[in-house]
Amino acid sequence: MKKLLSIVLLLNVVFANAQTEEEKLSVTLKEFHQALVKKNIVSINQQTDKVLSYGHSNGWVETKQEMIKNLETGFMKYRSYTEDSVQVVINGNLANTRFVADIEATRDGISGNYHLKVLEVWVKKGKRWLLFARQAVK
Amino acid sequence: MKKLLAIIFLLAAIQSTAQTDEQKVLQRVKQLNDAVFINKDSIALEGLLAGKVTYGHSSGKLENRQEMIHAAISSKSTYANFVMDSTSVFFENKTAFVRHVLRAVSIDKDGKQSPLHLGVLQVWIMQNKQWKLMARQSVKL
Repeated sequence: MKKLLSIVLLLNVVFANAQTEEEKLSVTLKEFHQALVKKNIVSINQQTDKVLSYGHSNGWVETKQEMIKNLETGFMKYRSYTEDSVQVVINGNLANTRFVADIEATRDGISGNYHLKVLEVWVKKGKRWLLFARQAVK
Repeated sequence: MKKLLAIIFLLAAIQSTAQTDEQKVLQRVKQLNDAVFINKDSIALEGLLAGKVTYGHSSGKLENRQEMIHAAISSKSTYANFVMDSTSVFFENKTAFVRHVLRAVSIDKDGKQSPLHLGVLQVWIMQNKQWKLMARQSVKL
């Protein structure tokens, strides 16, 4: 009986851990989007890889340096960012995430509300998930 | 002098492996484009797509492996003047990120022609010593 209990407990722990990795990433993902809104450059820097390739729904692609510069200069402003239907598929240290995003943003003084379908690819380096590539489509 | 030579050979070896990886990935990208846009080849697609692939179109439509293969081979459209450019590849461990721009003329079943101009992001992973497409999202340019 004790053995059975410990097995059940062990399975619980394993299962809970498995869930946590995907849940952890969906939390990270949302934190990153809020960092865009708050213009928290320190977080954005920590949550993205140096080779980041960030594709917008109009075909515009920013590098990490460009993304940070465009936020700092105010060329790009995210006023709000919400996600829906977040799906995370983890394969080793690679995670493909898909979600629907509603974004209020201003680019070069022109404001818009965007309803987007987004692919974000995250890679785990050490203990941290980093955003490597993103492509959005209307 | 021997040391210098050894270093040069080592660097040459490293560089040639890097090129090979990139060439291998780009070969898979070409195979995928051929299978989708020219040959509508389900067997080639089976070998190119990872089991958990998510394939996003510029229309916003998202397909899994089975849906993608079915849609690709049953499409009645044909494509002409196919060009791929602005290609970039970067690697992280056993993952390759590829961006490129596609231009073509798509011809629907009634013969109506329309230009196709897409930006594409692809993510390829190494599985059983082969590069397999794990995710793809295109956007209209």
